[in-house]
Amino acid sequence: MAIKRDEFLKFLASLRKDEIVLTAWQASIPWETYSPSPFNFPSVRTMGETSTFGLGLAIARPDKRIIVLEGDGSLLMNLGSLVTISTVSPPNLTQVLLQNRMYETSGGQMLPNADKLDFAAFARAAGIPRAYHYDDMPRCRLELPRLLQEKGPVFIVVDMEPGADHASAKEFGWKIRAKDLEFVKRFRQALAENPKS
Amino acid sequence: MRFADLPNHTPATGKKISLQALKTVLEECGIEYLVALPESPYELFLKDIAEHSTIRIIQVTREAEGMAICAGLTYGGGKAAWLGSYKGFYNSLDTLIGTARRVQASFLILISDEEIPPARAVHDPEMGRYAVALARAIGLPCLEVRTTEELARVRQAMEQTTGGIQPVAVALYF
Repeated sequence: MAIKRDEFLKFLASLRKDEIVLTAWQASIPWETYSPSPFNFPSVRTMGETSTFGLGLAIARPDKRIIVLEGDGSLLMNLGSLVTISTVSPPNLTQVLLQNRMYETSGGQMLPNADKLDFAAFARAAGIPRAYHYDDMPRCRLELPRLLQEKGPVFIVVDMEPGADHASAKEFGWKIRAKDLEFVKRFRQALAENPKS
Repeated sequence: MRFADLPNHTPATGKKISLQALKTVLEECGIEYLVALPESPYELFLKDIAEHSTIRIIQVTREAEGMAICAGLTYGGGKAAWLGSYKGFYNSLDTLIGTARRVQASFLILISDEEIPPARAVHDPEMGRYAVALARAIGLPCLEVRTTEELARVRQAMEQTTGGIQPVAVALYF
């Protein structure tokens, strides 16, 4: 069973307070729609590095909760980052892995060995004990509010299927990529206006 | 960063650039975080930083991660430096371009490199020739340090990061 991405993101948006949310690729456009905020940042473009950018931010801004929304194809590019995150163990970092088992932006090519990968197990094996896996929305609705308050690093895998919110590379290009400088300015300003307490 | 005791191991001491002087320069520059993967030319430097400095080492599993971590640290108001080998720099190019430069994060990049004679370079396709050229080819400012006296260039590079929109690199020929 899988969760519709738009349903999950809308629910996550309903729980959001003042967290910084870093998004990568397919999560970026719907997240901007469901939870518009200057504390959104969709501009880290290297696959697998949104979570490490988030790690740096979490270290330097311990006063803010950082949520990273990244895909499984991205994390596969940078599995070692789980060890780095586990070593630093930032209490304010929550990583949400949107597991669709494919490279969605490039056309739906399946990940290698897609049906057997257990990312929560990867995270636990890397030393992140608070690793959870959800494949149904009712349980997710029940437990996610608590997980967002839990001491980090927290690693949440959400089994996901693309919905009507799927964006082609071209659409991503004009909705996100073309506005990167705008996002950079907006995010930097938000951080500057809310200095470390 | 933790260190294991290796019997009969003789660490490199930095014949051309004083490792102690490098540490002093970084401290004087106000570096708070050194994001690094170990490499033999600066083995003693990392140990010294870990044991006798306020600079916090963030150890990564792959150098590219370090570029993104430095970018995040910089966004959060931290003063960060990336330290890696020339091979680590090659490994990091995608993250350097697709993350650090895309989000306009400016921090210090310290590349441990080695200049080798042309005759040896023929037999070594990696070493000593590409890091600086690659940095400059992508439009990254890159200074070079060959002696302890030239470590002032690290300060220059750090000054360039202030208000900068991309990282500034320094190649260190230990």
